[in-house]
Amino acid sequence: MTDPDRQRILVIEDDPEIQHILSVMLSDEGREIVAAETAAEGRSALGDGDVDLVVLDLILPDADGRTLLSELRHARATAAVPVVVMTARAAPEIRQDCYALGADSFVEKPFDPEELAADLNRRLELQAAAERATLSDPVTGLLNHAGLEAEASTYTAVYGVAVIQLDGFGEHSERWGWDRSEKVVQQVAVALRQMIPEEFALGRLGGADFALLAPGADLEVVTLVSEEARRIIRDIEPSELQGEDVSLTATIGVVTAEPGEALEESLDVARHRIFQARAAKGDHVIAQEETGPASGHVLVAEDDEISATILLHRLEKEGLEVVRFDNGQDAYASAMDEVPVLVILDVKMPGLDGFEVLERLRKDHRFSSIPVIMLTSMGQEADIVRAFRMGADDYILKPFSPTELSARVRRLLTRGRSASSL
Amino acid sequence: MSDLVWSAIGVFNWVVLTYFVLLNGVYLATSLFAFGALRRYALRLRSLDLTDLITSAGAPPISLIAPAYNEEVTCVESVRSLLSIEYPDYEVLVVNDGSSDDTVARLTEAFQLEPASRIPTASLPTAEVKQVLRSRTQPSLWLIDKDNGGKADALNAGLNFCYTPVFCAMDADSILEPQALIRIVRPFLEDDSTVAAGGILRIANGCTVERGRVTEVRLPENLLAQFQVLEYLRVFLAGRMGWAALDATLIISGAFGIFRRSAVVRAGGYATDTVGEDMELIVRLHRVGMETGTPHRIHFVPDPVAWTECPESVRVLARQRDRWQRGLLQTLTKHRKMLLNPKYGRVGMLAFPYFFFLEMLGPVIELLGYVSFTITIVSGRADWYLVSAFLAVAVALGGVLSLSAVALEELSFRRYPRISDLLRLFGLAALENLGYRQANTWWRVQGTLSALRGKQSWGKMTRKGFDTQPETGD
Amino acid sequence: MPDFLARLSLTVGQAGLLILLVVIALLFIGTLILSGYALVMRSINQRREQRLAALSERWLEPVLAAVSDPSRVPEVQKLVDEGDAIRFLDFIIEYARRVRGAEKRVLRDLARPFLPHVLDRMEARGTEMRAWAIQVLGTLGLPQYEKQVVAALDDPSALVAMIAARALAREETPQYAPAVLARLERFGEWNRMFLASMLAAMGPEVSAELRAGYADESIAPGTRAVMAEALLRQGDFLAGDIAARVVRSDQHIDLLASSFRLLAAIGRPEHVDAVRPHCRSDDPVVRSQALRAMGPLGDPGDVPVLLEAMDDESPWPALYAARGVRDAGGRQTLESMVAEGDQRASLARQVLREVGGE
Repeated sequence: MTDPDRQRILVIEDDPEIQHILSVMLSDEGREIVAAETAAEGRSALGDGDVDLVVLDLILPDADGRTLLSELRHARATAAVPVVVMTARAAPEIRQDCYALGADSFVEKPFDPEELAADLNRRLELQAAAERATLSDPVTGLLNHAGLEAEASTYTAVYGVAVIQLDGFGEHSERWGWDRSEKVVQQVAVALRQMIPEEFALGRLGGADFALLAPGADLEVVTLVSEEARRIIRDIEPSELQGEDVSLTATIGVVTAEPGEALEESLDVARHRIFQARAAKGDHVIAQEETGPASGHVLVAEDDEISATILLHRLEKEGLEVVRFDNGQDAYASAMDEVPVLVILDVKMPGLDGFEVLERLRKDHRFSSIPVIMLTSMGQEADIVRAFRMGADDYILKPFSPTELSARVRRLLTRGRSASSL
Repeated sequence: MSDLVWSAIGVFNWVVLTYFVLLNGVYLATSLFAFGALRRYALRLRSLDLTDLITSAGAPPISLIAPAYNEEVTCVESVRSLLSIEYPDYEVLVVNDGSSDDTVARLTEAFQLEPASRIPTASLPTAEVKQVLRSRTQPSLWLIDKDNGGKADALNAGLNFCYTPVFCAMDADSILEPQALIRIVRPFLEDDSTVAAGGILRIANGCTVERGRVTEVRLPENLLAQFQVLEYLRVFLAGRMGWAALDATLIISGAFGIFRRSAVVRAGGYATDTVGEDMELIVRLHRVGMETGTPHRIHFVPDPVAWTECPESVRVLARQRDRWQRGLLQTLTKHRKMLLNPKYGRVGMLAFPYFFFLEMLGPVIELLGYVSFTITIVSGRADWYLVSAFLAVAVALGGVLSLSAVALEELSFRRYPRISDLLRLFGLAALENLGYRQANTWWRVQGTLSALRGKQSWGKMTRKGFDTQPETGD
Repeated sequence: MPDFLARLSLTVGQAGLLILLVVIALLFIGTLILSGYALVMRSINQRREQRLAALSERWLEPVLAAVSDPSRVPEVQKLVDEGDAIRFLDFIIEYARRVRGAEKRVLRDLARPFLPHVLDRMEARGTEMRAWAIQVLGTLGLPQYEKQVVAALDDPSALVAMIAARALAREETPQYAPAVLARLERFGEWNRMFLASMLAAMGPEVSAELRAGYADESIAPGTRAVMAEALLRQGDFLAGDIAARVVRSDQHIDLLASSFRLLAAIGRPEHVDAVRPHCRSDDPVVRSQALRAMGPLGDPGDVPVLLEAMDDESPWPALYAARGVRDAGGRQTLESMVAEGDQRASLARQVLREVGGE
């Protein structure tokens, strides 16, 4: 980074008025707004150094914005930079095109400056958060996700991976309150740390999910260690919860990984095994080796049956596992029980509405990086600003284009993966 | 007793008969009008969904004004359900009418209410507003916390803080259909001179309510409530529907109705000197509109829009009917100038006389009729054939009217899916005339009497709850 | 006299007895007919619902499959009996109104062979039938049936015309804009904001026509006001000069109010001279909307006038004046009002707390 504290926003747009509006709306301390009027100027600005966000007009005097977008995505340095495409009167095909090429968001002109600014600010925050991330987990002092990745990248031989999840922690913590739950998590971390061999690495993935990396261990060894870990956890008497009849239990998923393999994939497999173990027995045994897709599920909360039918059909065709609820309460309960890889929330629902579910999810640190898409109706564009302010990653206007929706879902899922493998 | 008295009783019997024929004639006529209107409506219901027409922006923003008095048990759930209505742009203004329980605290906790500033847009006189709160989590939710002043006073307070061109007056415990606003706003789109629109109310007793929505419709267990289900079907499907077809709507129920803010404010808001503020407002809107020559259409949308809990005990029901009758009387005497006055068009010449002679004086005539019939029969002066024939006609006619309401329901909405419920409605139609009808007459006569007696007590109506609350005033 | 009455009641009674008996008989027949009617309706409706459910179940999977693979459209169409054409359209339209883009086009293709069945209903006497037909054609049958949909703009029923107008006023189909615009005056009874958002939905391609209409003094002022509102929704910067001209010369209240709203959104400082005189208008609507425009257009020199208007007897002008003070550079004045507990403090506090306008 040229200057890690300073965010650079590149606006490639030939209309001086829009340039002006954006520079006013986006300007903030610690931000630099770089204006480019042509694709050529844009390229040279990108070459100058790190850019944190690109706003790209599709129609440029010297090129089609899509060409630039595709160039940008193929260059290593800029592959992960968020790009917001801006254009007037876009046909759905062009939209889909842009998403397929890797745009993060799409803004139609004339745009509502405030809405756009909210969207951009949110993306910048995400970006900044990713950069701030260090290698250790602030709560437990264990490694964090990035730390685990770094550790795994040093291994040269086959190693074992275990994901340890405390059972029903979502419900517990709602009862206990966040600070007390955090203390419990810390206590578990200490216990695990004392138990495992020196050369193993222990990290926290978020919430009450821990990961264990066991270099040199085969499946049998990791399984043994994990069984021990499960016993240890069961013996913990949370000092914070005196008087309450609480017994902690954990479900552990185990897998072996090759060096050089993306850690995230192994973690996914392990998580999937936990999921299977819970689904099959509702018990806390270690899942045995099985093959199958290693990704999690997409959680959909939508009360309109017909929209839900269309949505599910489309997502399932993409090979995604989808769990759908027709109200916010049940969807939230399910999310607490089993963290999905992506959440799609309708704004209007009986009981808890989409905003309330979103707010609760964002309060839970396990969900800090789970993408959330809001479904909102035409004529309720004010909801969009609110959704971004509350931490949504994207929105879909109803009536919606299923193709566009699945493009956005795929985009968010791959972004999540590449961001966490940084 | 002298012959003169007997003759007078004989004449009176004929008066009662005339009244009876007239009343049922009107009922039959409105049923027929309703039949045509509902048949057309049934077609639309089957084929046309206006959601996309209305939700695609351009629909007027609406404020839901929900007065709440001692609703601590249900208020959070009710508000949650109000917030999940399908409508592009609306605010919820809950008006706490000086509750003595924890209504405000419950709402504050559930929705993180915090003090906000909102200056009034009108200055209708009301009891003092103590504070205005707004939700941190739901930006469209406001609470107006005021001293107790009755429902009309609470509505006026809400109206003072209403920023939207259209508002919806409702009871805090009404359960709205998710599409209630979308359906009922249509007259406001089609006709810019619309000042008010009402819809059909249903009885929630016996139904399953989940997350503030009615999910399964069944008849209630309680017989009194069952009679009221039938009564509501008759009143809304056969009665108001028919009056609406004549373009002479005189009542929009206080449990759910939408209004143009400017028109209501100009007319002076809700009257606090009557217990029938919902009807009084409609009559006044007609009157002010006619007198000032401003276009003012009042519509009735034949759509079930809200569900309401009805009383299941005789005591509470009696009090409710007493209050309705008092409200009717107060409204009609206040605006008696409109009676048979051609200046007020169909309202003055049709609807007003109907309410005045048949709905207001009717119960008294009917009760006296029972008395004089009894005297005639007991004294042995009655022609037995005639009397029994007359009774048979009365029961059969009542049955026909109620059955036609059931048939209208079957034609249009079919909200009672169980066949046993339908058969039970038939049975109720026959039973209704043997007891329920007479009890109703008795309660309404009492209402008439208390209205005549209690003129001076009109002013002191505070410290009372709304529909479901017992009254302590007189 | 009493004697006469007694006799009268007796004779009438005897004659009436027969009539009464007949009436009773009729009424009982009536109850039977009505109960029978209700039961028959119930069974007809139940059968219809069952049939619909069965059909929907049969169609659902194939239709969804065709939506993601358009090559399967013909085979799905073969699944539908000619007699079920209307039901199939009813089924399809539920999905069509929830999606757009490529999927919607597939649904249109699926519906195409069945649309001729709709045409019969266009002639129906019942408003609802015609409305349904136009809804189907507007959603699934454009552009093939554009002639019928455009003709429905002149339907005697407001509902039918409204559905037709909504179907035609889409950004993807600017070619229908003239037909809709030509009928604006006919739609005079409709809600103005509804009309305006419908016009705005036609996209920037109709802006030029809207501007021309807005400036045209031969058009009814109410209609021009609707055009101004539509331009406002489109954020049309070029309408500012017209608006300034209109508020200089016109008197119509709705037209003035809409023009001020438009200026408030897209006006430039040079338009402020046209607005200033109206800040003291006698009409509270005109006054409040003029004050509203003063906020974004005015400069600190206008603050005294706006401050004075905060005391307006009517709450709306006072509110807009306060916002004007805030936006014209008088934020500090408002802050000190709050601090000093001025009588306008609550108004000042409210506008200071407002985020992003209203």
